[in-house]
Amino acid sequence: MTVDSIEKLLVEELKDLHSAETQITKTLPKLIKAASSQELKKAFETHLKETEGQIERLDQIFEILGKKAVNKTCVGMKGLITEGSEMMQETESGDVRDAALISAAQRVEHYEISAYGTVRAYAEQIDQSEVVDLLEETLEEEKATDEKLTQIAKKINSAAKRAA
Amino acid sequence: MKLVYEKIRDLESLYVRHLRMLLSAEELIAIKTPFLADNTTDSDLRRSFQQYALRSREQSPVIRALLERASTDSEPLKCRVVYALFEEAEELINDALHDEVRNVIVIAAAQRIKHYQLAMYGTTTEFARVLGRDEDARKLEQITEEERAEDKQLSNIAERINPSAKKAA
Repeated sequence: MTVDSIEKLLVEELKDLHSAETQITKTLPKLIKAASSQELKKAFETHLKETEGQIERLDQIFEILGKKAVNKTCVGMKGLITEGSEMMQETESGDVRDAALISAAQRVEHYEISAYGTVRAYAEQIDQSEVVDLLEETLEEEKATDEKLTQIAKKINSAAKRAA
Repeated sequence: MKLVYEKIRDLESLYVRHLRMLLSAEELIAIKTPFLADNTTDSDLRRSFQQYALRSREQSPVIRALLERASTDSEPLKCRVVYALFEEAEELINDALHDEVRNVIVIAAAQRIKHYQLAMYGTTTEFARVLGRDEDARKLEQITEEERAEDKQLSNIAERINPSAKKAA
């Protein structure tokens, strides 16, 4: 494969994101099960629904661009998820595990914030305003999720310290 | 590579675990960032990468010192994510047909790595704060700010560079 334009680059990165989001929908149910805090469980549940909507947005974008979301594995997301599950295995259920889950989830969010920021800039560059708007919606959801996790972390980290 | 890990029983060991990952990440970034510099034709971008590589080399000993104070186990723990992100970058760089497109790819890859660090440093700083390790928190906070500034700088360079990549098509 060769990449010789911003448009091709946009499509490549969108395929990558499609794979990333799909991997996330498969992982979130495990996080929901592993979390002890009801607030954290609920945050993951909400984000699972959001992620499903984000995949629909990506499908819509592929349709607008007349491209197919063919199979491609996002290696970065695979690494993030493996790293997160290792930490999950090393902790017992409770506040410390919850703190580890939030940490891993925020790294996933930051990956997405960076990737969606990049594709939005590409879409702007090639004047695909409809695509820009769709990507912007997702980007805002990811930022809000990251912020929500920061808030939950504040409570859980203190509880995790007391647990020691 | 160590496959069987010690159990993480408290916030203190979770903190140590994060420091070990950060140490590995910084060491890898110091080694690999010159590769990003070599793959850009933009002199401003190249200079930035050279600075980032230097800064990573300065940050590693800071993390190592925090780790040595916090734990007897101060070995870096292979950061598979940063490793994967560089791998991904190399692949895309090889696929790029023009210098202009390659410059854009290199920035996107670097920003993904920066965001990994931002999340990691943000969390680790918060752990240090809760644990009452105020001096650690201050040092980690300072590095977080440096990373944030680098990410912003890359966004600014991207804004300047992206239009030329469009024209290259």
